[in-house]
Amino acid sequence: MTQTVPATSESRTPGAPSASAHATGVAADATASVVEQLKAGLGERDAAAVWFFASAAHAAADVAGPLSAAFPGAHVAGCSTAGEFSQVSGSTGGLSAFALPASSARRTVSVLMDLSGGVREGVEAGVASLEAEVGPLRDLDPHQWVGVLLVDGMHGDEEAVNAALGNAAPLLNVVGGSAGDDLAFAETWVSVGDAVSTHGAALVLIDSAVPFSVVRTSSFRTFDKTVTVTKADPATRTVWELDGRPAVEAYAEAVGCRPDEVGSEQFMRHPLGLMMDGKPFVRSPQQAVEGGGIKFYCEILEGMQVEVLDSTDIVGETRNAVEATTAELGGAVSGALLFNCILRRLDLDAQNAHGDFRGIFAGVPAAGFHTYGETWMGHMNQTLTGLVFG
Amino acid sequence: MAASNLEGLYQDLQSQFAGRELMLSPVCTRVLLRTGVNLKAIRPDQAGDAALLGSVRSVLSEMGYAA
Repeated sequence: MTQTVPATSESRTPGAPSASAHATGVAADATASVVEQLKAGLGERDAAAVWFFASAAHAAADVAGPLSAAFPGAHVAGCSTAGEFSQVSGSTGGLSAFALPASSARRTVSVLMDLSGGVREGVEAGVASLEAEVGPLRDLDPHQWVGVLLVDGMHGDEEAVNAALGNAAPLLNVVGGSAGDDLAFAETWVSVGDAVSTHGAALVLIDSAVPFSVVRTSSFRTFDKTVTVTKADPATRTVWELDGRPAVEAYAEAVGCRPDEVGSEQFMRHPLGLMMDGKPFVRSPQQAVEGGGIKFYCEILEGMQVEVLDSTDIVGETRNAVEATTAELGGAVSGALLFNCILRRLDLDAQNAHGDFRGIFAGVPAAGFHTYGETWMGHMNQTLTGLVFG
Repeated sequence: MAASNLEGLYQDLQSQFAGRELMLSPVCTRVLLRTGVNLKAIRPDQAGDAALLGSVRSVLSEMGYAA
């Protein structure tokens, strides 16, 4: 299931190539290599913005500071990951990065939002900071402006962050992902410049001088199995009842197994989808919990009607999505910033298909990371979201 | 006068986006994600639900739309 969101003015011409980089090794070596690769990709051009994605094995300060110092005129944002990649190579334990040339952005602004004192308060303070520079966010032209959000992946705040951002700028495309920590599920971080937060969100807004599209793709089909959430606890992302029955029991029946067989294999193949325009916002089950409930990786509200999904071809669906986006951009892509779910990474691991996945972006400067959740309008799972520049 | 059901509320919202209908789509997406109501295809069991109507109205209000 694929969706591209054209958000571009047709009058703008394609941009100069972005730069991407990937490296492994200790933080100092990996950072130096990434800086060198980005500068080589940019040539004589400056960067408007740089995003980097670092394994949790690296101390945030060892990467954020040197990268910011290397691009003094750019807005530099980053986060910890559950794996990182470029169009050429990927890793766990490494570092990837993407640089948008200054010629591709009329203006760029950024903020590191502190969520530790309350999500709404933190986002509103961040929005106020940005609005002091560019005026009301709701007045920004969504065909011109786009946001990139890197958000904490451990506190379960993504829905609230997206809601608060939506209140400030309901029409603006904000795309991104939740920071990871190599599956330790202990602590994630995000950064802007050399400032780092372990409970925050990094937001970069770009007034793009080149065409762009948002891509959202997940490799699932529906198969006429619909269930309604009849009891849930959104705060803990737990669904207790589906169709008035214990969630595990109803889910097992829907996917064709016994309740005692419900586990990671079924969850990976059969997440739930909140449908809009025929496409799912995927909600991935995490674990069965005592009392017959199922805990998810994102919020599902009581009353939501969701489709039980069935997995398809992850590489093929992603290729279709990227090709559709490329066509929308007139066949020219100058760079891609990608946010790929950790569950999709595990699927690619199992299929030994990372090379095929990266091959989809061959020839295009692309970089991204494997996330603890994906962002576009809201929070979702088992999806690839991305920002593709023409 | 405020709409008394979701269908009426959606019509009111559409009127606010007259001439820029495409811009209504992200608003509907955000409403779905925050309430479970798809304003573009309102479910029969939700159509007359007063509590849901209040929830949708509240979300729209937070986003700056009177409904």
